[in-house]
Amino acid sequence: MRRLGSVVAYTYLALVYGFIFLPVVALMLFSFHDGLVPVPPFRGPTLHWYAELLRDERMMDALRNSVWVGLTSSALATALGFLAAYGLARYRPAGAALVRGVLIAPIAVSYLVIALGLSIGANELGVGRSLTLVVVGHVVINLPLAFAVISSQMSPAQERLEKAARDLGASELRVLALVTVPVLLPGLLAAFALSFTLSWDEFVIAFLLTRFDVTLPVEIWSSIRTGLDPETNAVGTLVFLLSMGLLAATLTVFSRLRRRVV
Amino acid sequence: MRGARVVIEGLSKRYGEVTALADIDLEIEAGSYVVILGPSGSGKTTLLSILGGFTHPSAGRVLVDGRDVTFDPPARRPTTTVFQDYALFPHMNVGRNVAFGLAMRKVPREERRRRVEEVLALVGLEGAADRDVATLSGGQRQRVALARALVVEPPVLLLDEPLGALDLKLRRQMQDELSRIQRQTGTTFVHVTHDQEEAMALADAVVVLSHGRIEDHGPPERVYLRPASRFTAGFMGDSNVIEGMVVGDAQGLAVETALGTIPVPGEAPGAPGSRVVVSIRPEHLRVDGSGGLELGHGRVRERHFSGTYQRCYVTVGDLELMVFAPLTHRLTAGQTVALSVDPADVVLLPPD
Repeated sequence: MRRLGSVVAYTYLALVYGFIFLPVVALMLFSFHDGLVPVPPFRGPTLHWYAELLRDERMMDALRNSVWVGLTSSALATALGFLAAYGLARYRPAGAALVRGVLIAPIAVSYLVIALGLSIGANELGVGRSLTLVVVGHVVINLPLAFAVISSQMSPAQERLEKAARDLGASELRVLALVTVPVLLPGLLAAFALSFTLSWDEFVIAFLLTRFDVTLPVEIWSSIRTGLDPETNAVGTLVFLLSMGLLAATLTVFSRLRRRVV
Repeated sequence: MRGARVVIEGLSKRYGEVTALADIDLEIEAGSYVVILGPSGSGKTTLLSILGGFTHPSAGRVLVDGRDVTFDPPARRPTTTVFQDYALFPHMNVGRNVAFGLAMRKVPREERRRRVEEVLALVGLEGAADRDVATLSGGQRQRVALARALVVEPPVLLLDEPLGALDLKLRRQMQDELSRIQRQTGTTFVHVTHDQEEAMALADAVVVLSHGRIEDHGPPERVYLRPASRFTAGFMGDSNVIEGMVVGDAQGLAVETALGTIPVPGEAPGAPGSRVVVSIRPEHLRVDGSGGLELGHGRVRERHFSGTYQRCYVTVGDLELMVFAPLTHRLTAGQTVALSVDPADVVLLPPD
């Protein structure tokens, strides 16, 4: 009876994982496909499509754009999130709860709404659609997350560390540079990695706010429209692996956080 | 290193409606070890925080060697603090923790290294500079915190319940260390605690604080044996407090209590007819009849063995007295004993 139960449980588990990961596995498998269209039966393997990808100027441009947008928007979101979290935790201004709420609120707003809002706003100001505007959009969506992650790492114990540093003669700037930031570093890295992961495969904002220079998800979307080929699978595989790598890094940082004394 | 003299004048601190400190006047001698003793909420932590520059008082001044430092920021004060949770920097090793204050003062690297080694030796942590803070025991962290605060040679060292997180045995051991280090450096130590045994063991002078006011201030022996207030009598060790009234008789003044008439040993606590309280320490109540003043017979209601003495609750009339009786006179519950006391051990106090 127990045996039957565990058989059912494991079958169910296998089905769930299969449902989630089979498309990804298929995508990765057919990136090594020796043929013009990624359909069964599988032939190969070959690295031909990866070589094609490296030669594809448009894809490579889009990749560079994505990296630039990701790094810039994540750095900005992390810096702003840190300043907001630090200010609220240390100075406890009047209406802190409200400020906190307003900072977190954009999490609940659809990307479409944010993109349309930015698009209309930019139009009104006479600013053209560009990667810079995408950076702004990604800061909007990542700031609440960066703020939440960093806020959760601020503790009264850290405040006492800052107090001790001041007591020993450190100026405010040195307190920040020598104590606050180093102690919060795992939280800052986690916020940055999370922001980058989200920016990396964000499509709606990037699509609506760019024109000629586009990010990788937008470029992939347009290449799918012109027809499937295994090169798309190759780039999809790379995007997926990079996201997974960042996720693993973030989880590692977080598991270290939990073991810390302070 | 030499300690500084600290003078506190008319210090008050209010948080909205709550008064944390009410008009405190206090003089701390240069190079002395002062313990501020009080229950939680007595204002002792607020007082230390004002001395350290972390809190601004609502009124009053703090003078260190004659200089007004009331509103100087912590970084520019002649004080450093040993925090209750030590607040060691977790991302630095022991040496860098201790050297922090020196680095902020731009002390050259060679001198920094020498002074760190010296102060680590002073606190009994020779050669620990390269150790990671996370690998230290509670007692060792305490020593590092002490070294970090002492290395900049502050004229005044503030200690905020520094032994609170240690177990009893380690606490007693660290008390002796603190005492030695204070004598060796000559720094003025201001130490806050709620542990009266700690206060008595360490202090040159004890300041008893309650509800933001100084209840008593003096050498620990005097404060223990002749407390200045009812609160002090009850907080510094155990005490039997009995209500009474001053009466005049042919030989002079006396106090009438439920235990009989007790002659007044020194000066009168008040005019005849005024109410007073009588405080007698449990170890001063004698069961062998050796005290000069008989207090009548009582019945032992409870007896607990506690190693060095027997802790008994003795019922005399309507009163119940706590008695620490020596083990040479073995008592049992239900037994009747004749209580007496040396009149010199009786303390008369105002009724609050």
